[in-house]
Amino acid sequence: MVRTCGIDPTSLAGAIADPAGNNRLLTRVLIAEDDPDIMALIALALGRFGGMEVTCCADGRAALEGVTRVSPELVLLDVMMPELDGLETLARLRADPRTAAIPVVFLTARVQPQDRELYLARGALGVIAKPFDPLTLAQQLRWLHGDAGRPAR
Amino acid sequence: MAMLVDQLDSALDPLADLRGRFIERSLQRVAMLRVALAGDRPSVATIAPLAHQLAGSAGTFGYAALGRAAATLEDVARAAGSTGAPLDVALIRPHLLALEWQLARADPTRPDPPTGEAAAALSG
Repeated sequence: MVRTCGIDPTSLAGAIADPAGNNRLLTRVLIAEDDPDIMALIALALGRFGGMEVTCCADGRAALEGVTRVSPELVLLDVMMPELDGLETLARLRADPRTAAIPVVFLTARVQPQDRELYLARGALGVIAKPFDPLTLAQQLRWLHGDAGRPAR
Repeated sequence: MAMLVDQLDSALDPLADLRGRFIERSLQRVAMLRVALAGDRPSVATIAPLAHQLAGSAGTFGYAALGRAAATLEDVARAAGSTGAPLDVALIRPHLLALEWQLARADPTRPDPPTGEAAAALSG
């Protein structure tokens, strides 16, 4: 299932502030998360708190469909999902020339050093650990996205 | 009046509504865990994903102890199930009780959770 969630970022012009002060302000994000509560929280964190336009997908398969439809500037993926997990979703995004360059960040509870190494080796831009802070999630994504040239972490 | 106060709380604190839904869903997940453990052949394939979802979301909603209890249950279930044999219920049950205890502490609509020795035994 793919749906647009959060709120219209143009109605929050005053709230859209990039803490890093860079010009490449991230505004269009697609998330894939199978937990509906976490999904709602991410939508709130990025939509209302972060001023982003958020597309929500319940699994990796829906994310692949959504990516071609909304052309997000960044994809935020859970790792453990039914149907298609995060790593396989990333592999398929990278294999398609239309989506190969879209930055992908994992949001996961599996953040042991060997897990992180695996995600980054497969081409993820970064990894954000669960539990996460809803108040700073948008800032973390913008930091990762705004300086994508630096070594991923 | 109480409903009005609840609506006002929700408007002022958008996280409050999400927290309430998280607690409701957590109660459902724990009930499913209880049913799974009461079955003939409880399996890691049933128990670990439920515990994993709780572990991943509880901390984010501010219930760190609940998240830790769920993570422990997931770890114990995965370790016990790594042989492929049916799970040992006696091994898993104390961790489910600890999870229920932490959920009772997190849920404002439930009666006060146990105290004293019972609480100590359950909270690990």
